[in-house]
Amino acid sequence: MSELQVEIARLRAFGAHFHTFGVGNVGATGQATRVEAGQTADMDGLLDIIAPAIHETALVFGDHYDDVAKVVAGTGAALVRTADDYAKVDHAVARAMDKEAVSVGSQTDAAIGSGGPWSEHQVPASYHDIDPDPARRIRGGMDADVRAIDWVFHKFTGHHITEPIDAIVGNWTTLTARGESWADVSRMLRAHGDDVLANTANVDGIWDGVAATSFHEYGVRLGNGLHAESEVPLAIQHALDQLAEKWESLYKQCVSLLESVIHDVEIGAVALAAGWWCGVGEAVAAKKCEEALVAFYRAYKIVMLVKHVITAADLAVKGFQKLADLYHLATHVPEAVDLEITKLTDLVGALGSTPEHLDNLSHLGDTPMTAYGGPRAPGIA
Amino acid sequence: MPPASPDPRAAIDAVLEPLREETERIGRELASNSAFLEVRRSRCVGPETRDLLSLAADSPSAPDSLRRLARQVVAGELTWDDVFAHRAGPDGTAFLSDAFATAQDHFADARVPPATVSDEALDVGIDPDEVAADIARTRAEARAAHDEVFRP
Repeated sequence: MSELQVEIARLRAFGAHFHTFGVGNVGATGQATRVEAGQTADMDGLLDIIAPAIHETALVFGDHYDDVAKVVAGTGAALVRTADDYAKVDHAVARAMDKEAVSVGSQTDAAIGSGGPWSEHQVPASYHDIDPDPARRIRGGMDADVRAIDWVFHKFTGHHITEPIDAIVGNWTTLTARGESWADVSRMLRAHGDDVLANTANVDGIWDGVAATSFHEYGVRLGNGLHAESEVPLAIQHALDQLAEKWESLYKQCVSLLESVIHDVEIGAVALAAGWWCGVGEAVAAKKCEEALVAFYRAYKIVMLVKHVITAADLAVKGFQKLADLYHLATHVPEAVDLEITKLTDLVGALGSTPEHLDNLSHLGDTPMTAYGGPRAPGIA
Repeated sequence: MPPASPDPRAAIDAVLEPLREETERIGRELASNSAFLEVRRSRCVGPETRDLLSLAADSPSAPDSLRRLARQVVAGELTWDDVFAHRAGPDGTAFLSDAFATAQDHFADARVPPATVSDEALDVGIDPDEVAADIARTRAEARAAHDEVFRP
């Protein structure tokens, strides 16, 4: 029977689960981010302004989530090694005790807690459809009306009626679709956080002592950190949705303004015809085109507003990249773990058998020392 | 135990602030344009145009569609606003088609004085030609930057 406050086999099993979870489930997050949330091949026109930032941000966060996955997988590996070390200590203690007394009992670990089974959620990322041409639906009627009278407006003003709306090129529903992909990423991170917290609690049920407490703190930090991380892709979705929504509203209003232009120009065209029929009318046509210019200028201003809001969203998406390194999922586990190691070493040392492998038991202690820095820290791979 | 990670909302809000300011500005512009359009839509065809159409309807060269519409207008069965709102049925459609074709036949190649840009238009605060040039330049630069993503 183990004298240690740990169910070694279950700790090892949880470590293996943590590792598999990190490599597989959490590991899928980075690729999903790069492939789905970072897709920009369907963006053109004014969307070219923001597309590189969307792509780059997806790469930054995708790589960052790869690091997170390595931290989680490394945590599992560390738990397995810790379980192995406990087993070696247990064996050394039992062997030392055999010198003085006959051992009794089984070789199974004593149940010390109520740790539940490993639990895990799978949140898939999926491709989100776009509307192939939302602009055509909005401007279709206007385009039909403009053909017969555009020459009138051009003759009096030098402009073509649809110039402003023709400048607003780009399918804003691609932004909505990419936003949904970022929302998928957020759901994945939240689920990972839930799983880490749940399984940290499970480990807590089969492992007592200072090292276990340290791991518990680490796990809670990791889980809470993942929950905090899940807010960032949601915010990116919000930014993309805001842009898509304003773009569509501006586009619709631009069409409405140009329909007002068309209305005035139609009256102007009729005035020209009346001029042919009864000898007067050219002045009325000129006046109507002059009135139409007010709505036309407002429509052109909308073009600039669309550009400005895209630029603002572009800056926001770029700004989110800085948040990838903001959060520290786990810090300073080593002190407590070192204390536990010392106790173990002392125990074994007193028995005259200090295995070399105890020299560095603090696998967990070397876990994330910088922002999601586990993979870069020694002892975690 | 306090979470190791800071509350992300403050950092997120800071990133989103310029976008929020821009969307609020857009909200004001949308409201201004909506008010402008409401005024424009509530306007009726002016007396100058009504008189012109009545005069033209009496012309021997006027199309039948115009004469029929003019009689309906006099009878109070519809208004010239109905005609220009495309609510005057087949006669309205036929008249507009006749008028647009007549105008194009006789004025497409004519020299006309350019329309004046009113103070109301200038108050919008943009120059269409400058905006068009700026957008064309922006699109070309953005296209090149986006292309680099796929062809670095």
